[in-house]
Amino acid sequence: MTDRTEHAFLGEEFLTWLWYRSETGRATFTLRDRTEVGVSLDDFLCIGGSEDETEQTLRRGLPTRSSEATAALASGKRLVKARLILAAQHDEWTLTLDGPRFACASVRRNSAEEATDSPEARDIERIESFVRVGELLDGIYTIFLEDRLQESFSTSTLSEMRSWVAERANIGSR
Amino acid sequence: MPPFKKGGSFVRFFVEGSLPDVQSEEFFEALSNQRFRSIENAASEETSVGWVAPSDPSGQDFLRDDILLGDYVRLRIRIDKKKLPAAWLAIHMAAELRAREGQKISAREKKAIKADIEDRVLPRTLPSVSFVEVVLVPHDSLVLLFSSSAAAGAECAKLMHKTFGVSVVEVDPTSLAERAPVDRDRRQYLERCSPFSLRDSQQDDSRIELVREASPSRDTVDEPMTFDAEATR
Repeated sequence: MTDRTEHAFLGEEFLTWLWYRSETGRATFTLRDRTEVGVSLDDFLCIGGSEDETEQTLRRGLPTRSSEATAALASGKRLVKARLILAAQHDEWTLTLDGPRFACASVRRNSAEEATDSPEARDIERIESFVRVGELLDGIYTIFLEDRLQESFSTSTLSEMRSWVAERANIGSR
Repeated sequence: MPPFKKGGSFVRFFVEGSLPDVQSEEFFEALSNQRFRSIENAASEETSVGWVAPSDPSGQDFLRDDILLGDYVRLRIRIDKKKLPAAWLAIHMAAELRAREGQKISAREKKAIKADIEDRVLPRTLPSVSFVEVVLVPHDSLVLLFSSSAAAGAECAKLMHKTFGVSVVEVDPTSLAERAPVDRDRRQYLERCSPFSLRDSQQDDSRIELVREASPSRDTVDEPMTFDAEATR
């Protein structure tokens, strides 16, 4: 039987990769169904994922730009949880994604619901909204896996991510 | 019927095995067999878990119009727990001990007194009640559970198995990666994939150099901290 936690680290790596992609202006993804999704990181980050299991939570303001975030990345930590903004077509959501569990917390749809007098239609629209959030995350995760699950990842994307972290650290030390 | 929530937390499960057609009698019978059963009058500490319809918290009725919403099935898991509150146990125990006017009581007698209190008080104690929203998405073989609690997830998995004879697997980085539409090479690579580190030893060294250059006085001003008793004397 597969150990469910075996590849939990991929969830942390996914969030960290999203952070890198959003800061390097490449956080718009075209999914297999041709949907374009934009992702950005909002005002909550939980950084950890290294061997010492210490986690650091940064919230409010611009936590992605903080020196604490840079120091944590430079010390080898990864993003464990993050508040994300997802935008696709005419919809936008904010949610906190727990990377190792892929659990969505505090999901909120920012776009207005369609006006309807039918309680059934309203409930269906709300359920569809949650289902859609899951589909969008799965689609972006698949794009991450296509990049991550190849031998050349360490010499291509990982190398670029390390340069990104080093650059952040250099800017912070100036 | 209470409106479905606009926002909140959820986890998902892949359904492994086939669910009965949600329009069929078989589906409603299976739900009814695992409906919630009350423990309101139970005389012992226990937990009851079962399905209820959103409009009927008692678990008596599963009306089609209540639970079938377009392509989805909207249900709730009701979890009741009956437990004697510790404060009530302490109050009754104190009264029993006071009535014995300072007699020495053995551990076995104390245990018997506790059991007697439970027998008397538990039938009058109301269970705690909680509801967890569940949405079945049959065409995607998915379950959405609107709680991030691991205990609620375990109850949902047990109930799905008892009701429909299916297993559920939580949607997480591992199960998603196993099912992702990626090519064979990537799927094979998944087996030997290990965590990456953003810390690059060469870059770390160069960064330390940069920090030193940026603050040349640091080495001369900061003395190393010591907890050596000899040195601090």
